Amino acid sequence: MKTKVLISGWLLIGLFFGCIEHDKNLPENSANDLQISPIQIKYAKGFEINFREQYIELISKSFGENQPFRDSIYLVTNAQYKLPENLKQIDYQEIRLACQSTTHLSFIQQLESLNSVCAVCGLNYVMNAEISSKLSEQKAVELCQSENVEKEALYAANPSLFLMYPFGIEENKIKEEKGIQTFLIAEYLEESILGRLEWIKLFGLLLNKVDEANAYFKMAEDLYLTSKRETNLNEQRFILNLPYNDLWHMPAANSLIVQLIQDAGLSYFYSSEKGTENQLHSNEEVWNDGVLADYWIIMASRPKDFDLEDLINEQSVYATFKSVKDKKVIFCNTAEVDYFCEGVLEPHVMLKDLLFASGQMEGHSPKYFFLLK
Amino acid sequence: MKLKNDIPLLLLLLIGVFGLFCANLLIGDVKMSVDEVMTILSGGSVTNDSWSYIVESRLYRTITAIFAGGALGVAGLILQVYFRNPLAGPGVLGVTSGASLGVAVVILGGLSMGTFMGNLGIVAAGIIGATMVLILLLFLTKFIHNALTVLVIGLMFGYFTSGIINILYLAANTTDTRAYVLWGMGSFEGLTSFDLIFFISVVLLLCCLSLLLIKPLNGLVVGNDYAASLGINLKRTRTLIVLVTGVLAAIVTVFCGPISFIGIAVPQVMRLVIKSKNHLVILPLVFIGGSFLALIADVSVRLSSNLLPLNTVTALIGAPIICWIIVKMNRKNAQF
Repeated sequence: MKTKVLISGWLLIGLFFGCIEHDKNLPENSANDLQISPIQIKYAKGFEINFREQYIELISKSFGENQPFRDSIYLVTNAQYKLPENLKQIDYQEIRLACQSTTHLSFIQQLESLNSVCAVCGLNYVMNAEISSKLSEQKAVELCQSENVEKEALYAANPSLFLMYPFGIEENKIKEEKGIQTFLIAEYLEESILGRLEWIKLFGLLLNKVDEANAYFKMAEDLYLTSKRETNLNEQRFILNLPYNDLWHMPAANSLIVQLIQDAGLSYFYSSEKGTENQLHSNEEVWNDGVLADYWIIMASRPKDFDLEDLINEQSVYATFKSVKDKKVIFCNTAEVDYFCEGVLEPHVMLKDLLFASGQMEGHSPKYFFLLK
Repeated sequence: MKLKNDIPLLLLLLIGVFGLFCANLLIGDVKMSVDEVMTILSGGSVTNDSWSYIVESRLYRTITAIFAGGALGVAGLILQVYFRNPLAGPGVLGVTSGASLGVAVVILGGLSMGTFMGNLGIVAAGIIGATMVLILLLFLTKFIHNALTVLVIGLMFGYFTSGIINILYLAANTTDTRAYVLWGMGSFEGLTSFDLIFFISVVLLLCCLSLLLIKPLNGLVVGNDYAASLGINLKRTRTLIVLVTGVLAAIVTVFCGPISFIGIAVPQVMRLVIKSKNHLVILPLVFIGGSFLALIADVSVRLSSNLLPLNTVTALIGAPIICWIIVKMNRKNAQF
């Protein structure tokens, strides 16, 4: 009995290893193989790029306390190698992208690959004139007439890859119904500014622009880290933004915008508050604190020549704010500059703007943030 | 006029309104002592410059709540008597929706709420929308005598106007839609001193005009024929009702957003506790009752650090009252 069990065990082990496809059985590399430069991820936590012998695996994943998700797509580098059919695959021969976020467009534009975009959610709200005209030229379609992705428009656009948020849509259903490949992009969940920017490397791999992506990231990273320096403004505190329906949605202390401003040497007035969500404060609280805060940094959509007087006209109490009295209101007019999309690609520019506005840098022409006069 | 029977109630309500008035001035996210609030109210200065604005904001907000609640209560009472239906009110009959449509046309059409012309345009549009709905409703009542049917038609007006608003919403830009959404949540906050004076003046004027309706309302409680037999000019009464209730509902809707339930719930509750049948007594008491309920709602909003929208609070208070009225009506009908 004991011998029978042993033999059966050995047979099972033998059978198990016999099923494994070892690399030695895979095709040899040839001249048609893709040569992809190495990609090193330093800051981003939401994706991984694994270089294997025959293929590259891109993984998009949740981290920290985010709702769990994980997605993979593969790029075959060995022309002879065949991926199992159930796996998602990048095909450089035919890249037709659909994007659920206009932020994706900024990454794609930076890599000069807008011609691969066939559909976008929020096409009508694209601020960047160059992107807008290019997309209109190539007849890219609007995916979201309302807030939701319109499946008919998506299916009609027939992209080879739909870059989408990890929440709200059943990606499997899209693939099952029309065979459209999807890939989850969640750069906005990154915990650091450079981490979010680093997603350009993933886009680089998706668009066969790895070298360009690496070079751009290196340039932006260097400029950002050079600008970020020890300053003598640590005691200068700032508040953020404007109220919405009598409530101030103050970004969390560890949010990207707060990190950016802190990197410019200022301290957040609400830095002691925990959590990752925006903190809600009433008018009364912020009015009370505004009298003490040295700087007030506002990102809002306002008319072109919006000035301090216009701000005070919105609420006369603002005239009591220290930042208003000292003319230390730093403003980013989101109606004029593409803060939400282009800004993601230019944290180094935003940091310089903030340093310039807070008097720590000279000879800079601000793009996003400037002192309100 | 047996006013003395209702004097305890009047005193109780006045004390309640005064208490809530004081509470609204003292309660807030910024803790201030009574002395500090009194110093600010008497024109003195305190250490933090923003506090005078905070107290001013609390004061304006409280006064707005008093007049808005009172106006909605009075409008609801008149409509309930005229339509002889306890469920009638500016919200149910579509008057508020009409005002909302007027506001939506102006705001979503791109006219800013911040400018004087913008505000004036919104007020005018709100009044036109509200009175149009009322005129249409009164016209239809010539052919429809069933009170429930009138209510259903009022509700349909509400849905119809919501449909049009949704279309306008889709066509509007993000700034305008944002302004409209904020307005739609309802709030007693945000009126400037000029707005407040205008608002109070209109409400007071309309409330004074409503005094002309006291005799007709006393007659209409019994029925149109009885009212006519008392020599009441029904046509003139109808016109005055349209004017008073339409403008009252519109002015509150324009400045505070479409506030639900106060207009229906207050007259019903007050009728239960007021002993007099004379509208000379009922009307002022309903006004104060409306103010009382609006202040309770506003204090609740403030206690939640403004997290709860006003309409959520009025719904939580008003909806159970209305359900109770419906149950009561069903019981009454079952007896026949």
